[in-house]
Amino acid sequence: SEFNHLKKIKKKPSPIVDDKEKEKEKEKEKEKEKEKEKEKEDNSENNDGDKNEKKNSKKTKKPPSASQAGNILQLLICGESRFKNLKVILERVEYDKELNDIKFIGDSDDIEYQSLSNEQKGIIKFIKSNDFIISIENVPKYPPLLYEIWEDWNYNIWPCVYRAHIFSTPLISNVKNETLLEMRKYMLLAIEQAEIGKNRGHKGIGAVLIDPDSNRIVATSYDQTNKISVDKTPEILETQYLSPVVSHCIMTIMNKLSIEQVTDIKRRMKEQNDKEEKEKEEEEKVENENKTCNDEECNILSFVNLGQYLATNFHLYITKEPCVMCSMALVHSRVKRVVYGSSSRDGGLGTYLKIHTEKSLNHRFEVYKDFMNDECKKLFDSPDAS
Amino acid sequence: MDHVKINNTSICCDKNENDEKQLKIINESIEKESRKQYYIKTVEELNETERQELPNHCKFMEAAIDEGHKALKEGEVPVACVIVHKGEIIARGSNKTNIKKNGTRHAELEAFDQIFLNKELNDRFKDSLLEECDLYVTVEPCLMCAVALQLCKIKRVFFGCHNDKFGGNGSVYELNFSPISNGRPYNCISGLLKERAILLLQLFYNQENKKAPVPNKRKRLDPEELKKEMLKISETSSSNQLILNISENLGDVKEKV
Repeated sequence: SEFNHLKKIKKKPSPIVDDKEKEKEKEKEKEKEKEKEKEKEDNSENNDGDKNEKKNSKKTKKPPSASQAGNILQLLICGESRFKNLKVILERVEYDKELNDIKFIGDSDDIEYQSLSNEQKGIIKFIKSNDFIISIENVPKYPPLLYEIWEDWNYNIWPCVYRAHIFSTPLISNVKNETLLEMRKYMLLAIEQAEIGKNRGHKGIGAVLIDPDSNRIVATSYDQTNKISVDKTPEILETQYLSPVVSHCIMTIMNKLSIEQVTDIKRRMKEQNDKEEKEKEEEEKVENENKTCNDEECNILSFVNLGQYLATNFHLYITKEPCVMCSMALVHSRVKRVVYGSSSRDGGLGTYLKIHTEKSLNHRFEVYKDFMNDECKKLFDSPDAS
Repeated sequence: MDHVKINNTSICCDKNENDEKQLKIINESIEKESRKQYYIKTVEELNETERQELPNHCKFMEAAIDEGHKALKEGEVPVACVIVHKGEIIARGSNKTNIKKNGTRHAELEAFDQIFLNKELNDRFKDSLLEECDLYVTVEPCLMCAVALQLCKIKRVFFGCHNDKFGGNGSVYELNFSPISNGRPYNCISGLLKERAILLLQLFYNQENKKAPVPNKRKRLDPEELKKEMLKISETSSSNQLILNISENLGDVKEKV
């Protein structure tokens, strides 16, 4: 059923129509109007009263507070039964500013207007005097599944809530064609990596980490679960320090990323130390040399929060669905989006568990599955996860 | 081209739905069987024979907690573990997420790598992995580590306190039973030296985080204060009084209806 919702949204990029809700919206307005009119009658009709009304009308356009909304909703129901022909009547009525009253245009149907109750007349008067327009508009029936869609709906249609854990794995077909082409490019890179790994006797699984803002390839890696590579070429140096049981594709790629970042930090530290030393040499030339060299580890900690934090905002392309361990590793490293090829029996991103939507975890991300499924299946055709 | 592809993928998904169902059934049946063989217990639920070994377990857990205190001094989250083979500690590990700038460097994985990098140990455990070993952790292993432990085919896991947000051995999921390919389910015993493990964490979280951004304090007013504020507003602008009237009138309308 989840997929059905998705498909509907695909087909109609414009949100799905729900006429009843529209009518309710109108009626909401009407009823607010009713209430104001009553106040009018109750309070002495001052000139100030009109001004206040206008202010109120502006406020009603904003979402009403919870308690108010409850009351209004109840009014909606009675409004429908009382006022079936409201739109028709509204078309035949004009507001006279000088008289502060409504005029009826047309001759024959005057009786129809006369038959309206005072309350109904008041409502019409209010609508006309504040230039409200009654129309039917399309409103989304289902919750938004992507952040982009939510942005569109929330600001252009009506306020709605975006909950990351609601979305299942959105299908690739939700993506625009341009991004599809780009995704294809990166997935081909991942497949290339997988072939390198396969030639060395590992499982044919590869991954690429990409910075979507600059389109930079941050890191590439492949599965290294086999203990000794077949052709005896040295593995990528950094990942040699991972025990092979755990060195799944994603673990190695995260290790690579972290080592890159640590070297980056060390370089920065050196630069700063050099600067400090220079300044000190210029000023005092003697002393202080001992102080600058100490506490390397403490210094690393002070730099940890600078620059890129783990893999935030990065997109990951992998040929096979990651296992539960790897999907949790992705949560720990704060990835933004994951695209994978073929799915696996015990995969953590959709098949066995849905780690990326888990409520209790502190990070959630988008997952696209079955991207270039056939090509990825050729590489490593087994139900086992990466 | 692209359009053709879009159609293909959507068709593929329909076909795959049947496969997914079958996979789910397989997974469930594997999980059921492993639940029969393996267990998650608290310390209180142990047998009398198992209880006799408790002081032994506590000894190893204390070693893990000592390791945690070291991590605390380094500014890491104080989670630490010890791997024991036939009464001998063969590896110690503690969180290294900050120093290594890698969110996946948890205590358990650090300990595995220690075994792998030590040639002597590596030769000893090469094929059997950790089949005869016990793990003692201060805090429940996270989802990632819980699966990694299955992959290493560990025998038993002892942990101190539960981890409500990430715990993979009972808190969020019970991953020690789960059907992981190439993995082996294992037994879990929780609550060993629980209070000391919690104390260790409290020591960490009571520290002031100097790097943390200034928190956005949400104002939560008492209902009485709210009333006062409402009155203030209504005094300043007459329009708001009208709103108050509206809500009163609404009640009247309801009754009429």
